[in-house]
Amino acid sequence: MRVVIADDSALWREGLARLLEEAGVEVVSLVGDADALESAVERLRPDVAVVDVRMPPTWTREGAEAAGRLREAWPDMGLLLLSQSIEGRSAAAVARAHPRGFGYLLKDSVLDVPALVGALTTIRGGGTVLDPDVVSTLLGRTATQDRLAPLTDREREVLGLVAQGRSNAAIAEALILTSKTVERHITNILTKLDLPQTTENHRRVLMVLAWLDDDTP
Amino acid sequence: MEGAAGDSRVARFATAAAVAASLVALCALIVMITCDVALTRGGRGDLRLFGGGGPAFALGVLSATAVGVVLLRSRPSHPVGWCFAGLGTTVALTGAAQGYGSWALFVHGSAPLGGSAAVVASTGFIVWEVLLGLVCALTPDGRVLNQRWRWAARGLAGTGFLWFMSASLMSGPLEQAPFAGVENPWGTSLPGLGVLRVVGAVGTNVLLVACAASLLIRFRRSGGDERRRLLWVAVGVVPVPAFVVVMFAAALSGADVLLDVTAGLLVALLPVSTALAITRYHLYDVERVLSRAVTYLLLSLSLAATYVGVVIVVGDGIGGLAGNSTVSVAAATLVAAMSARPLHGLLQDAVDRRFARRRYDALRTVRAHVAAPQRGDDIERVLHQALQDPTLSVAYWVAERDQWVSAEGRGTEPGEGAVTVERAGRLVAAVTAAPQNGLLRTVLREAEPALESTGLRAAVALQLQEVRASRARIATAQLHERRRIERDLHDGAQQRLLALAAQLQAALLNGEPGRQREALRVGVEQSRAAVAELRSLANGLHPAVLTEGGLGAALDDLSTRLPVRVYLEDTNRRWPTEVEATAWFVACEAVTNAVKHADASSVRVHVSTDARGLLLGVEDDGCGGADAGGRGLRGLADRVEAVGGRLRVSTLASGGTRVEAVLPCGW
Repeated sequence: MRVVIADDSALWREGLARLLEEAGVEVVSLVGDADALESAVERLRPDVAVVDVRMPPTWTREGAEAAGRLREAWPDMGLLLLSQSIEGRSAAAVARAHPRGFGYLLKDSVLDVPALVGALTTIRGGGTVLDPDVVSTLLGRTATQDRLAPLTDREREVLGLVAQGRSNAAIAEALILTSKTVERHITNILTKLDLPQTTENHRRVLMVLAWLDDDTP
Repeated sequence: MEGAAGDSRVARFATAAAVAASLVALCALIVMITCDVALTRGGRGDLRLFGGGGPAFALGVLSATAVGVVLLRSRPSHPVGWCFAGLGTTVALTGAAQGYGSWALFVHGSAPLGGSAAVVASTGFIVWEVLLGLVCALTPDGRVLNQRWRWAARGLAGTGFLWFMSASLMSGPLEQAPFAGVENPWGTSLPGLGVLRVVGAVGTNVLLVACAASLLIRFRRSGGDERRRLLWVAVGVVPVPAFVVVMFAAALSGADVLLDVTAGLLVALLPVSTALAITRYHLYDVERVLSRAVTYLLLSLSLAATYVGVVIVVGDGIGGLAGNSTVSVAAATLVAAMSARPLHGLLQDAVDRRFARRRYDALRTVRAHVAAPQRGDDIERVLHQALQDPTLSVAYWVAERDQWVSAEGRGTEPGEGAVTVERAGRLVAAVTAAPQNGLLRTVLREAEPALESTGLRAAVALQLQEVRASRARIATAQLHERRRIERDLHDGAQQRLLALAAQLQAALLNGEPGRQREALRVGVEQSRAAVAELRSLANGLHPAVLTEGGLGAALDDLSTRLPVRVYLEDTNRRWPTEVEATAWFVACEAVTNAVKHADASSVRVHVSTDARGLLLGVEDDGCGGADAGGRGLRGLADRVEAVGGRLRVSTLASGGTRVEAVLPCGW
């Protein structure tokens, strides 16, 4: 797997590159800003671009905006946004804007190398990955909690994992359940939330994210 | 106790005396009228009391008695009240004696005591003189001017007694009309009565003049309130020339009724003005009343002179040609009417300059300041100078703040009995000063423009002070914040990283592969913990979510930790960084306050935008009790004001609190 890393901190991108290379991922380029990222992608055609949300010149959302442009130009390339903030709503919004091959992780999470590599693989395969911390804030908002009232605790746990982009099998493994039980939970959840039934993993993620993001009272 | 008991005894006695004086005066008046009727029926109408000078006589009796009664009731121990009551009574008795004596001697011819009544009628005026002199000597405080004048008063009483007795007991015919030639029935042939009578008369008259002079001396020496009291007496004297002119005119034109009424008023005026002096009636208006009285007197005299002058000139000149007196009268009226207003202004000014120097000076000082304010001369100092009252203070009303401030913009309160100044219906200032309301109000009317402009400056000064105070508070808050961050960094991440370095160093020195691997594993854990710590610290300063996701995202984040419902007009809208940061800070503080202090179970946060900028509203369902002046909310207001916004805290009908912030965004 070929990866480009874009981050304004040289120390960080070198560290991340070393980590990924140790895990067998090929890092083809390291860049420090959005313009360099776009030209590197055009030149090197990586499988996944790992982009920090904050980039020069204003260090607010340049990374996220560059990701949007890259998506337009290279719809098949995977995108992994790295963020400092554990905030759910804008992450969900960004994820919904990228229906295929998209990940949103907290910077701290990448120290967990197996999880990072798993996320990159999912993204490359067209799936969606959302950081567990981000999802839990998404579910934890007062307004959302009210709307989640009909769900049982177990169902909420399952919903969280669905929102993270986990497959049925992954969910079953994480919760030590049979995949049949997981399927039944998911059916119940979709019914209770008044969402159409679907077995396709990432369409389901997008649907759940949309539901979570839309909390007009 | 004894004093109080004595006082009440005096008061009871004075009341009894007042009643007695009133009854005597009333009876005497009835006797006079009855005698008049009897005299007219008896064919001696020429001797009637009320034929000529009667009303004046009656008014004299009534005013002296009334003033005496009023003073006896309100100031029982004041001797002038007794003097007036005595004066009223003796004048009344003298009048009754004259009426009865006239009837008994000239109509009936043999009625009893006719001669005695004639004696009393002829000598009563001596008692009047003594009492009038005492009034002069004892006005206004009931004491003579000094020890020496005590002898003058006693002398007056003594010589008056001597004169009265010798005149009453002198044998031979009486001398005064209408009893001239009537033999004195009390006459005795004691030797030396003639000499005594002369001595008594001279002494009484000299001492009467002296007592009147003591009033003048007292006035010259007096100051302050005593002078004002004496001015009330002067008010009674001022119209005398006008009365004289009117009486003269009335006498010339044969208007007897007008003549009598004028004379009566003249007689009544003095007791009344003396009473005003003694009771300190509206003491602080007396200067104004006096200056007005003098001005109107002069104005009337001037207009009358103008009128007469024009009538004469026109009558001799044009009138002669036209042969018509109507022309001259019309011209005189016109000229007099036209000159009335300007003449009034001129005279008032001249009178003020001459007699009410204080008023004149005060107005001139203030007018000069208003016309051309001197650098460094503020209106308050000008008012101090103008009113000669260093305790005077001015509080200016700042309507936007609902607050009184001094000229320097410091918070203050008007003193008790402060006089408010309004301009165009708006409250401008309140002036606290020693009571001299007539002059104070007049001066303040002149000072209005200066007070208004000073008030505006005070409002600006207040804002400046608030800005300074808020800047100082923000600086202090920042200092505390920095120290807290320094402590957190020092105790947290720094210690952790140091420990990590020490551990790695130890593994490096040890060299054993198992130890080194273990050290690395622990090192990763510790560095992750350090990162987490740093992140939470940084979030406390300026949350990453605010930078990356904006206000909406940050408020969402807040709602994962606290029972907050967020209502955003536009979820993804971004505002200028400092506006978002301020709004975030306000929302956090308001929500935290609501949950922590007001025991709120749910908080609603509204964010919208209009022409003014970002509007943030935080409402809770708590128990209220937010103190807008408290440190927390004060700090919030400071932050909001620092970006040019306004913060408002109000209590909802439900008892909860609403915090509203308007943050301008520079559009």
